[in-house]
Amino acid sequence: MKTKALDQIKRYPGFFPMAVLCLFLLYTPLVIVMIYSFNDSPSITLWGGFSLRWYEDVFFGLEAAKLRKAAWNSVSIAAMAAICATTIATAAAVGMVRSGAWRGKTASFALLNLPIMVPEIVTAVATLIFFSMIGFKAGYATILIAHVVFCIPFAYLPIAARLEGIDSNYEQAALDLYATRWQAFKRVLLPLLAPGIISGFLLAFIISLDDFIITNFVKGAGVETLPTAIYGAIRQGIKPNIMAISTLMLLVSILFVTVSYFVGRNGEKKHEG
Amino acid sequence: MTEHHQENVAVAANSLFKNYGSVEALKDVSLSINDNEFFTLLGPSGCGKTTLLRIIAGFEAITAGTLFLHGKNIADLPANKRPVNTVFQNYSLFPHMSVADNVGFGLEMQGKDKNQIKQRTHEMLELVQLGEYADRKPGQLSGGQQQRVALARALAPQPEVLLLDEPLSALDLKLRKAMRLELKQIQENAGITFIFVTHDQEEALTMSDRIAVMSQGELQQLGTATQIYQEPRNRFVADFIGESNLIPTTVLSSDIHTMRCKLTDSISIAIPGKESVSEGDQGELCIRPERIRLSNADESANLEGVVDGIVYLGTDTQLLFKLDDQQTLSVRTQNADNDGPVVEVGQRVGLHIDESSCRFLPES
Repeated sequence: MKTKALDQIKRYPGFFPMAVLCLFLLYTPLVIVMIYSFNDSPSITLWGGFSLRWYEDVFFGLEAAKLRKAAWNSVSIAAMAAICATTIATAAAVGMVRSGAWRGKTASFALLNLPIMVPEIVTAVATLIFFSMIGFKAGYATILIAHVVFCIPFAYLPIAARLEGIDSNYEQAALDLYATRWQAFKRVLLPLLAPGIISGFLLAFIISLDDFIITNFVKGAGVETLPTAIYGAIRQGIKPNIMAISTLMLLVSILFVTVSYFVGRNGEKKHEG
Repeated sequence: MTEHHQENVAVAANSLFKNYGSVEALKDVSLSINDNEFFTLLGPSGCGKTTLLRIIAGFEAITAGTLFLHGKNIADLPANKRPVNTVFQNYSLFPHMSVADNVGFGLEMQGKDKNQIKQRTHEMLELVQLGEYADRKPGQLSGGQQQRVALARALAPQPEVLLLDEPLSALDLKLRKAMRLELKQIQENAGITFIFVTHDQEEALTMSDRIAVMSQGELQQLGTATQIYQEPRNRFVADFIGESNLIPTTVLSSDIHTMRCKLTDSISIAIPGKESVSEGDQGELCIRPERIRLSNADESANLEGVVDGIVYLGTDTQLLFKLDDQQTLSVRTQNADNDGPVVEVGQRVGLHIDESSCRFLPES
């Protein structure tokens, strides 16, 4: 049935040109940025031959130290935020999926996932106000806390989806074979859930790495992440080194998404096996 | 109750009730299961048999009643503290562990030492003839092999009672039949009480020492295969186990030895007597189709009927008769000794009913 339906979609008139147009609109800007990151000319629109000078500039130029610091902040915050968010999301998913039916379950699910739908600017303002109300000094810690919080729903979704596909009989079988609840979780559920947890972690990592709005509100003076550093640099005029940084970030993203995809697929196969 | 625990009783359930909200899954179920017994819970889906099994395993709490395992109250014991193991319907083998790790899991959780686990795992895999599959993953095995691994895994920790939740239902017919004999053999060799849940009466009849027939959360009858087949206690059991002709009847006369029951308006038969039945009682006659024969010269016919249909079934043939009062009667004749009269549709034939095998089922 499925393949037949997919076959039929190809026969709709205009399917092919529409698909090409969409792909063109989606990817042309990215491709142009990638190409121009290898531009030898200091202009961002005129092609002056192939060169790696802007990559060199990113790593060894005048702003290299600043960028390195920002990159380190981004990566370390993303890693810690993703670890915390994934842990919390795993606990939440087990609680939600394995608790049977209870009053307010739907409401809890909505509460967990609402942050994805709330306009980010609202979350940003709210977070900032919250921090100033409780007297937190803006800086590295506030960015980290904010990132942990908004990454939770992103980590939650793949974990919960995976968990829903795991028969609860596995845990019952473990309990039946004298395992404690913790042993059943650690030895049986966790390994089966791992692909979902890894997907959740990678998604949370990318979301954190890439965040600008909330970070910009809560970061305070002097602490920069890559996105805020890039934004700061652009305000003083677009230099081609921005394109080099963007290309590098794009590559990291592609790498993570690819890994996440293969982990998920591999897990599926094993599970069906 | 504990004080009166009998030596050879493995599981004793007393007035068990289980409610899911307003749904009563078990209603006043009492039974005791003996040591080393192959005990089957038989009934259609939704009859409460699986609920009872899950209660014994510790996956469900009881609403009311008591539950003893070898004289010990286990009603409040969590599943992982009960010396009882389960073979799940879909096996639920841990897909990320090797066959050997699956089988050794229970022993590992019990804190047995490595050598002991290895030895016992090996023993168990030999028992189910899967010695060379120890390092495979469950996903690489066939359904029948997975079934054996599940059995080995559940037997490895030497449980006091083994629970089997329709373990054969996922196998194809041939394999299912072979596994029946094997299961029975393993049970006898292991000397462990098996509690087997199934909706398949053939499975129940071939393997069980005793069978508990359940319906709508209630225990209908408990007995050996022969008892529940030959002496069904009520309409449900008579109808569910095997085939039967259930014919509305009135008791014409009754004493301890025989009672006379109306078969058609003009014919009555004399069947074994039953306590607490008296003249005028309404109910049904249970007549097994294989207990009716086409009458030949040596046997007098109880009644006559017109052949309405003939169904060839290989080993035997099912004949459908219309009686004079339009009642339908199903008859089975063995094809092996089929040198009696060969009939055709529309023919009027004399029938002989083995009256001693007929039972009166009072209206409930």
